[in-house]
Amino acid sequence: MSDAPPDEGALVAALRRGERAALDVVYDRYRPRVFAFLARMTRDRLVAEDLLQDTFVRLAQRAAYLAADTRLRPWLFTVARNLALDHRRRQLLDFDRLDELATWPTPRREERSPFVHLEASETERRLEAALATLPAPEREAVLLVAVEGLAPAEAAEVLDLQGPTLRKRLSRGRKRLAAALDPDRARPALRPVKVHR
Amino acid sequence: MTDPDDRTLDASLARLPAPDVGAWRREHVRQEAHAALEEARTRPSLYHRVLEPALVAAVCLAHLAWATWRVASMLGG
Repeated sequence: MSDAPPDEGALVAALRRGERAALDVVYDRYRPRVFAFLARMTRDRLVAEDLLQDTFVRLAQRAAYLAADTRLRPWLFTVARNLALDHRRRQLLDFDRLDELATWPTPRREERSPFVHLEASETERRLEAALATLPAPEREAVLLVAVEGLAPAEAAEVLDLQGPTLRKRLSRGRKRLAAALDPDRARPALRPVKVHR
Repeated sequence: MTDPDDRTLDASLARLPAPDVGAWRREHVRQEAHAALEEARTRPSLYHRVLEPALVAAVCLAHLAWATWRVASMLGG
């Protein structure tokens, strides 16, 4: 591969040929964003690291079968999100954690994002804490569109949602975030959290 | 999206850092992915894994059946 950053099509073609260099480029390009998404979804750094590994191992295993027009970023976020959901389901099937069934997907308020321990500005800390309070369906929508910068159409594809449903979740997520960040100016008409799926 | 508050909120969210995994874990995951890529690349095809062994087994069974029939017919006279 040349010194210039390869475009997505060339990367996919090289991955389909089983080139390690292409895998390295994809890994270095998308690892931080995928890891950040997983950490904010699972709120557990160690679990996020395991799921990150599973995501890129899966990419390596399926590299030869990627469609030529695969867009890697949505592909990786889709796999990462599915792995996070599988992990969540396994947690819920753990009989020691049955009490969580009653509250899922409402997050436990005392849980803190793994990033709050890092050096961060006050605003970042408050944002991370507010994100951690969002119900999972709204959190993943906000994370993909507002934090990771996916186009709404890409995010809808990752989440397997129709456009209007995604917009609704985004809107609700933003309202909850705004309310969590500034309770005094909380917007009205916020209803209690409901189970979405 | 037209709400200025939403735009301000999204701008703040977009600026959130994306902290990376530690150096050891980063390289460990890379090696695991390399190993998976290599395994997938060198994995025998369906022909070599299933079809060829099945064909060989079928030929052997046919030959064994033929040999058994020949012996039986000679002994039976």
